[in-house]
Amino acid sequence: MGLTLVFGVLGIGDFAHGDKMGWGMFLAFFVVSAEGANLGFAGGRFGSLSFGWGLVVGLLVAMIGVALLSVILERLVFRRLRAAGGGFFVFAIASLGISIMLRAVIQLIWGPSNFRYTPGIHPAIEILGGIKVKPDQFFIVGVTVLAAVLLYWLLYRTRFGKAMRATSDNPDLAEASGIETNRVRIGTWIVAGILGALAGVMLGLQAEVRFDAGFRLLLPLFAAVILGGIGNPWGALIGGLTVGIAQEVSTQWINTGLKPGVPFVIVIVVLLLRPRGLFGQVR
Amino acid sequence: MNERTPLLQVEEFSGGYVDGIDIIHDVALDLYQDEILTIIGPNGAGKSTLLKAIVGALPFERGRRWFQGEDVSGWSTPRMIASGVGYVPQVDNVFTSMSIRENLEMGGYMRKTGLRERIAEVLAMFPDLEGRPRERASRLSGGQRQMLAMARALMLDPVMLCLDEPTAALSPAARGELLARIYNIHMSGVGILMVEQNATEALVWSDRAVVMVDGDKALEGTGLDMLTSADVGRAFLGQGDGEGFTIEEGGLT
Repeated sequence: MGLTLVFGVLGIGDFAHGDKMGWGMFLAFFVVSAEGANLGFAGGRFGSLSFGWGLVVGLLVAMIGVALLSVILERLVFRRLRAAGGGFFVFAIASLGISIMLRAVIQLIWGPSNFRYTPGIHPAIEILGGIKVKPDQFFIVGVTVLAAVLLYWLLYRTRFGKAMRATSDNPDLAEASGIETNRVRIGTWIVAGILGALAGVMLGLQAEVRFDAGFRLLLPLFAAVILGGIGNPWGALIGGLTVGIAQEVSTQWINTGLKPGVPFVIVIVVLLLRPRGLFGQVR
Repeated sequence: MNERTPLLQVEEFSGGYVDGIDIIHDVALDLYQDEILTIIGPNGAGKSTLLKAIVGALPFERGRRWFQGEDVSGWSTPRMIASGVGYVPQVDNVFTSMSIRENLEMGGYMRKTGLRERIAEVLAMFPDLEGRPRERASRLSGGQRQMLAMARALMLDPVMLCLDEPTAALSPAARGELLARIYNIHMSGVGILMVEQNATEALVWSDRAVVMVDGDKALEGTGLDMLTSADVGRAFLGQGDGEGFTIEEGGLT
């Protein structure tokens, strides 16, 4: 959702989004890990979930950190490129460079190992029809739905969110309406950063904390965004679910090694039938 | 007339989109609040460029501009809008993915209070738009879009409205209706600066007009002078622009 927002409002295909997720993942890890424990952040568990207040604080730190990082990058890199007349490809290549840099710094600090937010085995519980789900996964789904609802509320019910949509629709006219589009851009980066950090922490909770976990998800992310219709947050959510479920279900019939290719087959088929994606709007 | 402060004053305005290639040269203009001033001229004369520069939508600027007696040279568009200028671009002048109401909300983005009331007031000026606030702008006809574009620009109660070819691509009936609306807006105390291609119709409603040719101000006079001037007709016929700039001999009939 963060990726599609940046795409829609700022016209930037942000290849660094995956690694920003990585930063969110590791900032939270810092808080819940030994270093964090020394600061008094670790500890506790909520009911049958695998984590406690430590991760909640970690999530907040991650959100603030990644939002700040995104704003700094906008001012340092993207605003200058925009002023110099840079277009879509310039932004994309710049973000690719940023992506490599961000990942390298994570590896430099935390190394190439895998970590978990909380060690130990977290048993799944059985729900209807013998399907086993971990309590954490309920939490992740809940948080995702909540994030989507909040994003909808922001975009369609608040003054600033509407200004984001207006800037996405027509930046020149937004300026001619008195909207300070530079502020809107900063706001967009903040929202996308918060969403990216959230996604990173959820990914760390579901899988493992690893320096390139966010980056590995980048291509499926783009597939989800394109599938859902570029710039459409709801589309991105549906696209994400479609890509994720298709990938997992596909292993029933094809070799697991071919799994990463599945989203792209879907994208190609969908784009042939609906060039603007499932929920893309015709202007 | 000249003892009053002009609403807008522009002096020695020159510039273009690319450094070193000027589209307009040393243009001077003034507009009073009780006037409709129309800039006419053939395609490529620099009319729209001039209007964009006046509202601060083009980075180039040589020369100075004053608005309500204040030097506003170098001001950005949002700053100009905040100080009482409404601007309606020629194309892409509504947010197509947003509803009528949302378009007006964006027009009133800078309003601290009274947004709801102002939306109701503005809608009352454009009956075509009333009663369907949730309709998406992309579903409106060309004429309705122009109405919405003007309504959006009126949300901040501007004292000056800059219109870039408002009647372009409209049917003759819609053109007449729109110009009548512009006149009504003007009568409520808004100075109008308008760029027009459909010159004859626009001149009828104009107090004054400026003719631009190749980036220069070629002529200036009252709307009626322009309508009856053989020079204006000849100048454009001489350009051979073939785009329907027709002032019949003997003026308006």
